[in-house]
Amino acid sequence: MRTFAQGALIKPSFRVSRGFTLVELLVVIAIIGILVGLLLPAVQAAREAARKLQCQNHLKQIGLAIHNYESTYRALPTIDAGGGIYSSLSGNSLFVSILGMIEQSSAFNLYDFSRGNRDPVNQQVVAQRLPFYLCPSGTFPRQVPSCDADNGRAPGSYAGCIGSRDFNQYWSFYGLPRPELNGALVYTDSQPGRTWLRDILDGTSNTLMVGETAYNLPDYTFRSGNCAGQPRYSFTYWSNPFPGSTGCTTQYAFNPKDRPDDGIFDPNWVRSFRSDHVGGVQFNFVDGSVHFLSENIDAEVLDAMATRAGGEVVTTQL
Amino acid sequence: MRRSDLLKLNPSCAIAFVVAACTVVGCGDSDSLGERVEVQGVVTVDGAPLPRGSLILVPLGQTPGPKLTVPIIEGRFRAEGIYAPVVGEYRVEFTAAPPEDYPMDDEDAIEELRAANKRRIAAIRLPSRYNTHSELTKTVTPDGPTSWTFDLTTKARP
Repeated sequence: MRTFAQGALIKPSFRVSRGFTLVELLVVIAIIGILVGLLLPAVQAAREAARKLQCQNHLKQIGLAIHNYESTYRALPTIDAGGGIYSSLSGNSLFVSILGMIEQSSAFNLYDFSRGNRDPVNQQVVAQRLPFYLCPSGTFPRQVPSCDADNGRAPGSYAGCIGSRDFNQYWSFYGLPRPELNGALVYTDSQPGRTWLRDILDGTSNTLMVGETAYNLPDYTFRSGNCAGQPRYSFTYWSNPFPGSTGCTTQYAFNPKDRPDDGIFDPNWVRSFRSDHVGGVQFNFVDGSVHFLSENIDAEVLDAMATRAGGEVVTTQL
Repeated sequence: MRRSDLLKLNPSCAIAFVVAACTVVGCGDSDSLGERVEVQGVVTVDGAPLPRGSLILVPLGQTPGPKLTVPIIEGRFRAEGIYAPVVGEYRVEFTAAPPEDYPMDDEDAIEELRAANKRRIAAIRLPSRYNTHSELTKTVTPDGPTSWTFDLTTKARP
């Protein structure tokens, strides 16, 4: 009798100490949830940091390829190359010129420079999505190429710096002299028509050479073709020498932010350097170094860095 | 852990935890450059509204930040929200867009013009005193929305 009574007394207390109540379980889950919630943004930030670093590496490789080009031809490449029957812009881009220097000799040999980037003969090469011409942070809100106006060309994420002044491709039809460009890289029909390293009088470590562009302008739309009226997001194809495609300037807003369907869009933004990174844009300088420039950089400093021989003193620490 | 212990959570402790979490994750979205003030107005060229173009605000001296471009449509412009300028002094530049038929991203236009043997297109050509050599300055003050009127002329001398 005594043992039975003891057992009956002890049994309930065993139950209390062995199991968890629902509240305890929920509290533990909530604490784990908060910890994961704290950790996730950090993991995402680390992933973006890695993508940004790879993007930086691509810029470095492009810079090295341009320096290889310079060693071979003793001059910096021009934004456009070859194919100029109608204008310099119907030819090919700087990124086609350096294909042979970036371990794409087979593509370079396939390429016919006497024809333009939209010619069917060059289609096979320009349709290739070359990973080192694309920034891993960049997102593509639409399939590129997918429309008539894309002409089957693969997108790009980088553009040469033509300086603090834009290049008006209609200059001869305006009755204007050749446009003066003050950047490290120029067009063959601008003034000057080619640049050498000796022209970089501001110092190669103070002058921008190649920067980023991105498919992030939702209010930029197609004007013609089967996609007319649809968002184009960007004009960048790595093979296309047009200003806004592989030639960008600092004349307009830097790293413009375009919000969809707010009716505010400046077509000049297409020709501005911009990126999908948070807070700024990465640049390859003429000396081959790569730096991240804040989007809040003072306009004067940015223009000073964009020009090759402006005589300015850049005081900002990079 | 007993249930009574759990219910004894100190409220100030909970607040401190939330504050710490926000600091780690990063709450808030403040404009690091300063106060932005809405600017709007009218741009005419030789008396007629400028059909399409851009107004470029270049910060001068102590005014922080990068350039700002404001689209001009049918002579009107408005810069508000994130597109509005920060309080300070600016140099003002203007660009006129090419005619509607010859957009900046038209890859066939020059070929077609050459094929049609056209030498000139009717475009608004703004003198360099409105862009590359602009000396026009404007100040954005913190007392609310600002309205500017610009009357440009394509004549060699104003």
